[in-house]
Amino acid sequence: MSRVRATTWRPGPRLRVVLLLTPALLVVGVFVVGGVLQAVLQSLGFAPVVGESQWTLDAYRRVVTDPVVHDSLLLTARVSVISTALAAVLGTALALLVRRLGGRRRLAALFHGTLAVPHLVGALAIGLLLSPSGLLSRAAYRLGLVDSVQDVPALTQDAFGWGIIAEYTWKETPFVAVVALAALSRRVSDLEDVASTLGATRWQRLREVTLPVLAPPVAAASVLVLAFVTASYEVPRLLGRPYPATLSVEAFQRYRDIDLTSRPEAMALAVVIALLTTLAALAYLRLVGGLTRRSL
Amino acid sequence: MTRSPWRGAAVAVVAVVTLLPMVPVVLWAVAGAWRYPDLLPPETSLRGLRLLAGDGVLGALGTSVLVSTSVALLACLVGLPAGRALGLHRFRGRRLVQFLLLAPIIVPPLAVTLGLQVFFVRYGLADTVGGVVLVQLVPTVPYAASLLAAAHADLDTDHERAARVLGAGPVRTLLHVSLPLLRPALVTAFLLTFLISWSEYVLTLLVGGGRVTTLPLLLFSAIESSDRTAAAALGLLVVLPPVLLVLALTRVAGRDVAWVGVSRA
Amino acid sequence: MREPREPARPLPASAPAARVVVRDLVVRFGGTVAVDHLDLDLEPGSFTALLGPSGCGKSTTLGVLAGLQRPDAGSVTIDDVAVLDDPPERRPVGLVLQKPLLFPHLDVARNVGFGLRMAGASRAHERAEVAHMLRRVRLDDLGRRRPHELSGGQEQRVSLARALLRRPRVLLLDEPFSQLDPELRSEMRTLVRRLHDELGVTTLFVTHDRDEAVDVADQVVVLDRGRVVGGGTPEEVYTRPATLATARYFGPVNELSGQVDDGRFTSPDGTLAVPTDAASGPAVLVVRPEALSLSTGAATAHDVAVAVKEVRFAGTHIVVDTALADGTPLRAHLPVGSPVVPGATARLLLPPERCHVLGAQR
Repeated sequence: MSRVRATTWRPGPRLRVVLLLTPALLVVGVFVVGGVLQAVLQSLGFAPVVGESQWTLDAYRRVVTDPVVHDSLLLTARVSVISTALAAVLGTALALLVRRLGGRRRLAALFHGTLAVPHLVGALAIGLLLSPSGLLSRAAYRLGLVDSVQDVPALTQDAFGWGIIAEYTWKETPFVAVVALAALSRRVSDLEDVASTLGATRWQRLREVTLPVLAPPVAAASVLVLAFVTASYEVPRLLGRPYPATLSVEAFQRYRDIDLTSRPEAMALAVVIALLTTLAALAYLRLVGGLTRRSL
Repeated sequence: MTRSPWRGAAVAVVAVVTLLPMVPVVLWAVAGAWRYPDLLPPETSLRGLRLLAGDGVLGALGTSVLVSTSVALLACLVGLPAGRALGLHRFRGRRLVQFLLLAPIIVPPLAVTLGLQVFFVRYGLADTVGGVVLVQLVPTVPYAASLLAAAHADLDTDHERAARVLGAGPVRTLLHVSLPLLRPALVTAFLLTFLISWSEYVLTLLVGGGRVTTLPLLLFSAIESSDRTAAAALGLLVVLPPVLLVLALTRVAGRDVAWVGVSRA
Repeated sequence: MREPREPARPLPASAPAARVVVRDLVVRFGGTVAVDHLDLDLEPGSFTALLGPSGCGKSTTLGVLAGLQRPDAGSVTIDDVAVLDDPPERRPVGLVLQKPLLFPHLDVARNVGFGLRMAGASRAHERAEVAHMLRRVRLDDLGRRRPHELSGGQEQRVSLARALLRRPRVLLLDEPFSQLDPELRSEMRTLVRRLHDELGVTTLFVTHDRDEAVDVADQVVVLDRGRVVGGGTPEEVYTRPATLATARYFGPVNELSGQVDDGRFTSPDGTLAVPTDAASGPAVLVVRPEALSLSTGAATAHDVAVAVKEVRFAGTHIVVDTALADGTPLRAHLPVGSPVVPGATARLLLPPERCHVLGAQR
């Protein structure tokens, strides 16, 4: 007696994709979108905790006219742009150097090790290295470059933000280098060989072949770096001054303020940071999407 | 490739500059009283290292391990099906989904968490380990999904089809064919998300409310205190697992490591 | 360290083609010898095919000529000037590889004009030359396209145009069409041949495809395991190969061992005798399957008795596998419908003019 096996229901292809994506989209949708939405709402006056909601642009007005915020924005922009630029240039140069030297495997491992160091520890390390009583200062004293602690230029907790820039540069240069090294594949060497048979000297090959081919991945990595450093908290908090602080630190301070009216301002600042980094992300997608078609 | 004598020197210079910032950390961790302007600690002491065996530190270590392991597991669990959808299927709105899944990396976690805090409080997730684990999914799921999407794109579905033809059901195919094929990517995703969670400070501070103490929180207060030795010792403890894991990761995944994979997503 | 020299100046519109002489070239990779004391003579304006199976060292030789590979020993001169110390950018050599390797960030026009641009030519000059060259390779309107928008054949044409724009005195091609469909390959061969004839550039064409070599080149040099094992016009190499290896390379060939005495090759059983100018001594007679035919009439010194083993249909002919009395296999391609049956005997005619006798060799 044979039994006919009932066909089990299997989800169609469209439904299958939806099912597969649901958990991840939930995380993103509920948490990220929800969180940002909440921040926006609270910045506009929605106050579920206090109980009284009053829709107003007051928080934004206060934030936009606040000279402290202006200084904060300036500092954040300065630190982010300089760090990203340094990381991009140094990282690319480093990758090219490592490729020429051929010590790729060991140096690559070193870079990956640095990438693994949490930024918090990085802040500690840079602080211990560059602070007025830090290791570099002591070395300078030993070498006779300075006479006392007071003579040492402030590299941490300084007005310009050098300490912060140092930490970001130290951590993100290996990141760019690793991305660039991966892009310096066999195929790039082949292209450089072809260029040489067409008469290009070593400098010409670098300018006309290597750098243009490296540009898209390095640019994409740089945008990721820019987005990260703009929004980072620990490093500017530890290596920067309380005033002016970067936007993230400002936002956090206002959030923790006993005066609850500061909270919408904190949200407003958070929204501003989110806008800045989202613009960076759009640029990133444009770069990676548009240029991937043209690059290798 | 030129084999000039400068080669060794250049490699050394790069290595020194890369490692330099960690030097004072190591020195301070084992230093006794070390005043300015001594270049090297005149006396070593085990005080810093002994602190690491203290209750507070061990507790934080335990919490960190618990949180990070949970986050890594969950992130991979969530990222695996998403990665499959993105890597294997062509569907309308794929680019949009890719962008959405990248959003958590781009949108500042601070902004997200400040907003979420209200909900966490309301649903009783604030100040709990569970809440911290959940919020840490935000920066980790995108990486897991991207990595696994790339892995699925390279996956040869013929193996799965062969298994089905031979009579294996969907679950057995998954367990015995798909997962083993995806193992390097899964391991990479696990290690990477573990790493991200391990280093996380702000999210834990906000959602954990100071009640959930992970190592980074301990480290932060130590850095703010004037006890450099304690801070350095803790710093070493925090740094060690990530560095070891990443070195293991480069062994598993070969030269193309996680970060590179993400920047191509 | 060499002192820096000025960059190569743009070459005149039709630079004379160069004579290339390679002497005693040796290239080793670790323990293996890729190129084993190779000698090569390319007459100015000639079109030579370098033929051989994969791994025979032909691509390596090309690499040495282009300057991308340093040899372990030997010399290379272009027009009597030693070039081994010159980097690729200083050699008057153009290179086209298997993969087009077009610069992905440049459009077709800027790809083709690359060489002139590097030499410092003006934009106007570059544009004019590029337009002219694109017309030569029949890619007139594709100047603005990007490499990823091109088909495989179009990409290789751009690659060819790019290499030739600088008017190199030597053109090197390394299996440039092996990735293309057969019809396309044939078109491209015609294109290369035409460009060679128009520009008069000394051309070296590396391939593992026997038909390709025979079709496109004036001279064929056969390589095996890093050594030259045969050379000459395509016809010579095919019908009068210098070595057994060369003979075998061009397809299955019948080999009959025997003895040469006084200008005659005789098979061991004495039934076959063929005049030859090979030296006396043990020898091998090679003859192509398609050269054999069924013998009619009385037995002569040019035919042999065989036992038919197998008959297979091969479209344009039938393949008949037979054996001589002493067991030596003999294969013949006979017209469809020939009266041969497995198990029967037959007589096969070996025309002496299509037989070739080689002195005994390993």
